[in-house]
Amino acid sequence: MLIEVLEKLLNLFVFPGFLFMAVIGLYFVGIHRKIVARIQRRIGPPIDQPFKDFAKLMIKEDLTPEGASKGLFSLAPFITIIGVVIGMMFVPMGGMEAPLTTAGGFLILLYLITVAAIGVMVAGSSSASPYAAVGVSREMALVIAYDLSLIVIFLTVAIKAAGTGAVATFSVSEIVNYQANRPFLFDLTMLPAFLAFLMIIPANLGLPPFDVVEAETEIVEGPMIEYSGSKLALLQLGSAMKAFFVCSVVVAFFFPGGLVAAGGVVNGVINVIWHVFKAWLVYFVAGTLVSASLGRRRVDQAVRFYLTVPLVLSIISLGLVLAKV
Amino acid sequence: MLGVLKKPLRKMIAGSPWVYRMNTGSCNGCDVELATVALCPRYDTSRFGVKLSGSPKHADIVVITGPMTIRCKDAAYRIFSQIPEPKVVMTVGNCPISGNVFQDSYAVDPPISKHFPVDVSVAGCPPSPWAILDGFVKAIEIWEQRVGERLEG
Repeated sequence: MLIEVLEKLLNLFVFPGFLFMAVIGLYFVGIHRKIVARIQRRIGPPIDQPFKDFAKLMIKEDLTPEGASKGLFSLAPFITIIGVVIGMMFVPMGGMEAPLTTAGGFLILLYLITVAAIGVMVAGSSSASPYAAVGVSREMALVIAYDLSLIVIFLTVAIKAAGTGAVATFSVSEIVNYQANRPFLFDLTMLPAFLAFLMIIPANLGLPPFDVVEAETEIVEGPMIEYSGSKLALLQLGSAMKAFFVCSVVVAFFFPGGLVAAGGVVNGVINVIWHVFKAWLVYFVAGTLVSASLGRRRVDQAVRFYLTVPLVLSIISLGLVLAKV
Repeated sequence: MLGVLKKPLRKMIAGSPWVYRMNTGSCNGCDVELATVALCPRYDTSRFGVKLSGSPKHADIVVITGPMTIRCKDAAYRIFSQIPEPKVVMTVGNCPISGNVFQDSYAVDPPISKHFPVDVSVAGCPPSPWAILDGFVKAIEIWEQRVGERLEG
């Protein structure tokens, strides 16, 4: 019993929880910034720049604005981190079982992806700044816009993975096992859903062209404007960890499976590295390339986009799966 | 244990100076040199870790242009007090040093060093981008010292 508890705590704090996600997430952001810089013909910051920023912010003075609700203001940075760390517990990596498995892990994932956005909303609305309020209202509009297609995508995956007999399966490990020989990525009926998920990533991670929430040039970082010091560091860490979490979910839903057979420490390490590489590939295609080449859209354009293109794509996929094409 | 870590930590932190620009009544000449020439992709200051921040609460190096007009003095003081410690102050152009062509005007109150503790001054009307970049490098050196002092406690 005690060993089991210790093992779960180790999962939560070291692997695949907090520490692992923090390092991978910060490197994702660092590589992203470097590649964007190279695409724009700049030299760009070093790859470990997010680590430097994090260390810097940790020693800076911590200011709380007058009029902010102090409790929520200091609690908010943790909401995103806790949400994504717990979410990661349900994501199987490289053919291994996830640390936590339940029959409804799938639904928990769906909600924890939104919890990460709620952390930003709470941060903004507790900091008593008009810019933050604008950012929060934009975040809400975006979440409502893309959550609809996210739910349809999740449903599609659940129904597709149920096989014969059952209507849908909400167990993540069953979904991953179902794809052992036939990843959904290479399934034509699932391709629209995959594309829709990729389109959601920029809005979910606050990257151009849908970085309307943070929009530096119009609402100066939006919900983060009043944050400084260690709280800002935690907010940025949370968004970096979320990048790895969301990309891991895409990998688990559409092309899980390890490079080598599961079992043994060496194979496990190879499979985890393979998983991280695939997650980075998702981030590179949907995040880096898109954000380096497109400018920011207005918030109404973003909402209209999410209520049309990804929604239609995911519904096409759902229809194809329901019709068992 | 912590003593050994201090030096690499200081080097690491010194590589992340975020810049905040404050215009205290500049004629925009220096702002054009600063924002569209010195901080542009060609001279890419992001290789030093510089990031332009829009909020004073994220700033480490505050870059001031202009001779400090009477009308913006109050706002400048309020913004300056919102920048968390440790911070480095850098001025760009002749106006913050002496008031330049505006120095005898009733509407300005130069020099900036009368109001804020200035660390680096880049002279010129407007200064060349290379001079501004040199100022950035010097400001980052001072920033590293400040970080060291902060780590010492």
